[in-house]
Amino acid sequence: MEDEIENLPEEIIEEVLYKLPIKSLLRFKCVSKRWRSLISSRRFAKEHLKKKSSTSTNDSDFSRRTLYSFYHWHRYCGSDSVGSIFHLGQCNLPSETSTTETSSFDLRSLAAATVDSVAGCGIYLYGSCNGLVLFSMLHLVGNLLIWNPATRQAKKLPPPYLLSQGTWPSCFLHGIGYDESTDDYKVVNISKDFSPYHYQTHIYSSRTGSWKNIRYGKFVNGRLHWLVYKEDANYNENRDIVSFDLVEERYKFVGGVENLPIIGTELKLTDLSGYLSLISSTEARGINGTFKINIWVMMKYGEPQSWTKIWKLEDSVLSGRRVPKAMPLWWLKNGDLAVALGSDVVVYNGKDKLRKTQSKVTDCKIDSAIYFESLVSPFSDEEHRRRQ
Amino acid sequence: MAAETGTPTTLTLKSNDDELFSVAESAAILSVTIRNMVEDGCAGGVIPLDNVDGKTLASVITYMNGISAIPADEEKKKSYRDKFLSDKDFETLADMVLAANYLNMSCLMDAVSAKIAQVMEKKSVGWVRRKFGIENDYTPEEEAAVKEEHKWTFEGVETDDDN
Repeated sequence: MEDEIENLPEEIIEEVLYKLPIKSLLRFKCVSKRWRSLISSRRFAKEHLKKKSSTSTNDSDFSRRTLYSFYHWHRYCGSDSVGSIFHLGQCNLPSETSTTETSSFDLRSLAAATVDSVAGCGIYLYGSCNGLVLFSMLHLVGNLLIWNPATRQAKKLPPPYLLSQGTWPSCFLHGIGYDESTDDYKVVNISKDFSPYHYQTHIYSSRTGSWKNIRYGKFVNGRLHWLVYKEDANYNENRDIVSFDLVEERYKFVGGVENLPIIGTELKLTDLSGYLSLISSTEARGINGTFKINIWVMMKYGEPQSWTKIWKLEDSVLSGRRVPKAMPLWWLKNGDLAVALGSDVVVYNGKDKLRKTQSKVTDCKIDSAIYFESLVSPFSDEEHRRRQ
Repeated sequence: MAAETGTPTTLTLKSNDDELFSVAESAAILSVTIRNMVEDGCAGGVIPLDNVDGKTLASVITYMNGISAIPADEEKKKSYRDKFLSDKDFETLADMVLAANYLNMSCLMDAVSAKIAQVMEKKSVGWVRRKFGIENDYTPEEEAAVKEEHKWTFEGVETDDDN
């Protein structure tokens, strides 16, 4: 071993480490104590994320590391099949020869650590932010988890309010986002109890590991978004989008696509390559009817008139066949769009024409969340220190 | 690039082992360090580069000439960089990343560090220690505990056959 090299200074070693995949970084914690504390530090995770986001302007580089996840819903799900619920695929969009890899995570160990019973469980994905995925098992507020699939760290959140009171909320919404001002990942839980128009907002700070209650929503510009129904003065129902600002902790109406049909149309909201995106799926009417799927993008954030339809699919369906689930995954600057459609991932070019079909991902998709690999820790500051 | 007309200016660079190299100024100023020297008027005679040896400097100059001959086309520049680095071994890459850092050439720095990362990606912990000259300061128990915590990351690691 005569390959004596000049020892590289630490700042250069860091530059190299920032470019490594998460799996390699975690392995290299074994190299030395110094490497371990460097790779485990919040500063490194943050810088790693920043470098990755800045190279993400280079489409090919980013998408190579883009993963998307789907979950499998098992109607009769025994505890043994829990491990097969989550599926993760990797999509290499720009490459002509790319295929979609599918790999599944063993959720059994995750579930065992976090949920008392996993029998009959379903997994609901609420969103992702900088590599952290928010989901719940059984769709219960008491089973909320923040999970980093790349580092395989999961943190079960304490319930936002006392669940023993017997007053279960009748509905709730969740979201995860990043508050840059305090470098904190926050989970927002909006719940409605049985009295009409009585909403409560709870915010979880991943740094402190605790919830706080924000009484009765207030509305402002922000980053987390939900679809809502709104009644106008004539009791006409409209759909709008509400945003929640994690810094100011206030709500605002953002404005949805005008004149979308209400009946028979399902709407979904997603983040598409940094744009707020809306997917509308309209069922086919009659035997020879066609279903319609449209993907809209808010080109200028906060300007409802900037909603633009970037993709559409109209097809006739055999009677009884449902409209395929569609979720846009990635929208490149050259106009190429990847859509998870039914059980495939399909890439379209800017003119709605099929360019290639990717391999089968899963046979059943209900939720999807796009995330990319990061070192971001789901644990509170205190837990993180203890683990280091 | 400066829109100068007439004959292109040539600079003479000197490595720390006293090799002299001629390079077009337009290519050499990809290095911010050299550009600053030129702007400060220190480029009249020979520019000494005390932290770069002749072998590495020759390689860097090949890169400077190659990349500056490509018009503003990021795709082509990227494929040139990939090709340029494709046959370099770890030691050469380590020398180049130091040179790129010293010469303040961010595009080369980025490309070389990404290449080093690519080489390292599937390597063992032992390989990394050896190549980076890092001493293992864990006790065997401590190391086993860290390894246990991230056991799955040791799947698919290459065997070290290239000492």
